[in-house]
Amino acid sequence: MTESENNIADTVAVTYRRHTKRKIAFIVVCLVASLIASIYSATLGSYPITAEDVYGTVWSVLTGNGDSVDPTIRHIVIDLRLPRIVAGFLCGFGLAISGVAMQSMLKNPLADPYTMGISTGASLGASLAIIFGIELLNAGLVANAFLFACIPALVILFLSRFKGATPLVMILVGVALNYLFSAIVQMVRLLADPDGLSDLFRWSVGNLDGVTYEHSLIIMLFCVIGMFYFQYVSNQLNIMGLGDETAKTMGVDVERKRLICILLVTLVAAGIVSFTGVIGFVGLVAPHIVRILIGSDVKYLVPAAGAFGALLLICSDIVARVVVAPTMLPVGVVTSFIGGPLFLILILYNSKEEWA
Amino acid sequence: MGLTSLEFKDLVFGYEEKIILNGVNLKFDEPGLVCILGPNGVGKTTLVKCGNKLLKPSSGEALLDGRNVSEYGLHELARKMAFVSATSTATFSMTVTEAILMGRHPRSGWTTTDEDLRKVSESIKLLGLEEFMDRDFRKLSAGQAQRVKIARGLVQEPEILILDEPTSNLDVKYQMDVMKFLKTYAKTAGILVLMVCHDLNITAAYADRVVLMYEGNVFADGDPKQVLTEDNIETVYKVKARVIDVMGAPHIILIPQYDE
Repeated sequence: MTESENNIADTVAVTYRRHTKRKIAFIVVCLVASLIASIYSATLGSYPITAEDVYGTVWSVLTGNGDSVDPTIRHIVIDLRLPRIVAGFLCGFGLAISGVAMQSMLKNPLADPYTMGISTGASLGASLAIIFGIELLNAGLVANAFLFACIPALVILFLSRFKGATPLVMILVGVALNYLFSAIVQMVRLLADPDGLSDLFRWSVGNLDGVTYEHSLIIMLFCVIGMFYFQYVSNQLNIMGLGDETAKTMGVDVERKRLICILLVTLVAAGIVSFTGVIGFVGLVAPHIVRILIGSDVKYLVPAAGAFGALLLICSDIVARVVVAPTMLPVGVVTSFIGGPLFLILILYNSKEEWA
Repeated sequence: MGLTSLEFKDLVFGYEEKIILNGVNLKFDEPGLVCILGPNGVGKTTLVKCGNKLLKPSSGEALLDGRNVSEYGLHELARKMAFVSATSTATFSMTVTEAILMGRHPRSGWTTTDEDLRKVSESIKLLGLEEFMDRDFRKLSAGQAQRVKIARGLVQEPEILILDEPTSNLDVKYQMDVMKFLKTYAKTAGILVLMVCHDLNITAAYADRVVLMYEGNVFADGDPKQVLTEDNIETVYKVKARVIDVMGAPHIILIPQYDE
């Protein structure tokens, strides 16, 4: 290589490695911020607990010395406050990585984990279980919501045999099923008694209440599976953004990848929604914000958006618990309140090419 | 590296009632710049897409190194053939370096290696993209974006580089720069560059071989002087032309026709 060629090679390598370090640093910053927000969140409540108490309690329990901690503090931190914080982290993480996968494979900046009808499917399952006691396989409310949330993916799998697994087919199926499920849910609501309506409303607005450690373990399993696969195919998801034709000529089996991603997004998002109800905007907004900060390379966007989504949901939960204290707002209400204006700002900030 | 051969044998392609390609027989087994010309709708792009598995022929075969392309996996095919399409856009922002780096997918693993970055830097230098390395790919001009797409094709290290109308939407300077680059690169790298083209004079000036298509089949095949004759142009394009010699290559002057 000539000197000039060596200079360009060095510049490309140095610049690339510098950008990579910045992206990794962003992920670390988000994770640290999530940890700080989590500790702060655990101090909030009618019983005063300090950050040192929180740290000490968690450390003692993790190292098998839980008995050395004040039982009241241990009960409040470990049994009451921490479950929702852990759930908030995992749900925010899972919704954000699902949003990245959906936007990348559908080549659509407006896609989110609910685009295909997962949330309305889950709402339908929950409605039938709460109002009429109709549960598939007699599996309970959560499982019923999960099973109904998976219906859109099955419809897409079926239709893809005839029409192919194209972004247009998937989005149209999502639109059709959203309308259909919403209509049935509305009918169910009309027939519901006031108690049933109240239970259904509480489920539907998106809540971290009642999500136990066991539930979080299931959500974590789904998130880990989803994250590993999305990371594994991250190069291919990048290439799919160039168009199906170009991606095929670069060796990417776009239809197969899209179908597998749909199944895994369904697993992650349905797994979250069935426990928490519909928490909106995290899956839509977190990928966009992170893209502005670190770029669109899916390899780093998945963990970065996940970490940022976790931070966003933990912070939203903090707001939900303090803004009208002692009453707690459902976290889904807060994410919608924050997400709507945030999305408008993104529309103004992003270039017109982003929305073309 | 030994050149991969691409051959079309009795290739037929059609949609329902309309036949686009009508038993095409062609073989490419030498390095160089080959341009495929013909009127709109004659099947130029369809032909090359049958060659890289984007379209499935109704009958006949597209053979790569003697093997039907349908037998190749997408990944395996991408290591032999790169395709630069006429229209390819990025949904989300990415730098020029990132856009070119994607072309390494058939050759590299999950992580980006020094070898990948070296190949990217070589193609950046070859295509004169140094000042655009960190620019958003979507904000480039048509000519700059086209060079990036070609660079992405090159880093795939293909034995056959297929380009679909790479000079459309480019001004004359960019057109000539791109053609000059492709001709030189085909020779120095010893690969086949197969290009779908509309511009007769650009083709005549730079192509090593011209395939002129008409009514779904090959009408003429050979060097530009043999193919781009006044009679052939009148038959295929239904326009009158004068062909003169400019620096050893045919130069086509179209004779305008006006209503009486």
